Amino acid sequence: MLRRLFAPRLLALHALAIAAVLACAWLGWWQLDRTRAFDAPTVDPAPVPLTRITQPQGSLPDDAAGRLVMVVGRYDATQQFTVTNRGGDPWVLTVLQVGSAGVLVVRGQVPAGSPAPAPPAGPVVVTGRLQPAEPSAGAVAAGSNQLVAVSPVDLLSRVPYPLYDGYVVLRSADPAADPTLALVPSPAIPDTPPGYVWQHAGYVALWWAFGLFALFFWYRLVRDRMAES
Amino acid sequence: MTSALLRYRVLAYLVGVMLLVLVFVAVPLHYLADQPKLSEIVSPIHGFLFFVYVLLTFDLSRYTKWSLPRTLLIMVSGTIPFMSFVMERKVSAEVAGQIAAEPSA
Repeated sequence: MLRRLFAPRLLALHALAIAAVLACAWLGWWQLDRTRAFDAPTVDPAPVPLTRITQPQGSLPDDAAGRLVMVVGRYDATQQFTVTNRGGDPWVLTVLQVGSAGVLVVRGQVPAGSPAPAPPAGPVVVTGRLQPAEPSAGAVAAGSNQLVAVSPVDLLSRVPYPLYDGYVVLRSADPAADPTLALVPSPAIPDTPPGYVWQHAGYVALWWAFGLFALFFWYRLVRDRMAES
Repeated sequence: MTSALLRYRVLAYLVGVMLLVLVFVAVPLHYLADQPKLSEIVSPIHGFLFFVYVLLTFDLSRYTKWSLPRTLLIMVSGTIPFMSFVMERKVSAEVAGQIAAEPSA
């Protein structure tokens, strides 16, 4: 019986069955991981220096949007703007000078009608979430400090030095941010797999069903071959 | 064997049509037009139907006494656009011949 089970002509069949079952099991595990990823908490990777991700006037790499970044610079008090069309309280946006360039930093929001506090003088370390630039709303009007879109392009005619693409929503600063400014929420973008939970859960069941079928198929074939001999 | 053939043919058609919808409509919409909805719904349904197709192909192979490579080939042809229709015609003609040669069945 055992000798017939391991006859050379059946060995290839055994190998094929093992490969098929292992492949199906592994593919099912893979989809199970994806199913579980839907309710896993989103963990932000540690902040990276902005200067390591992109250069002034360069465009943001696709994977840079939504990352926590760290920038060291000095706020340019002459380049402070408010963004009023945000639904709630207006945003206070100040250009942070980084070397010979600048990056837009949303420092926080103030109650409508309150004056935007001046930025701290001296060097600051800003940590925040890097966001892709909003679609341009046209160059900011001369003499106006109100922005419609948070877009470096709209400030090119105003700011006398090159700007980084995108903007940073401040989360923490050293020295600490002005307490009259409330931070603008910038939650992490959940890193969920494509599609739906049920889709991946279904694929788990499907792959394992294929695996079980491969096992059943193998059993029937071996049984038939052994009955023939 | 006649009903096993019919079951196989129905699934071969369903899987073949869904595969064409996937390959020529849903997947281009997903990746070229960034509209993933259709493919996210059609893909899993196609997956399950393909599983049923494999089961029914196996069932039919019990009657027709196909060799293993031949059975696997017919199963795999369900994953190749248009090939499923070609294979379905071939299999139907062949099995119809077998049924005719076996008046008792």
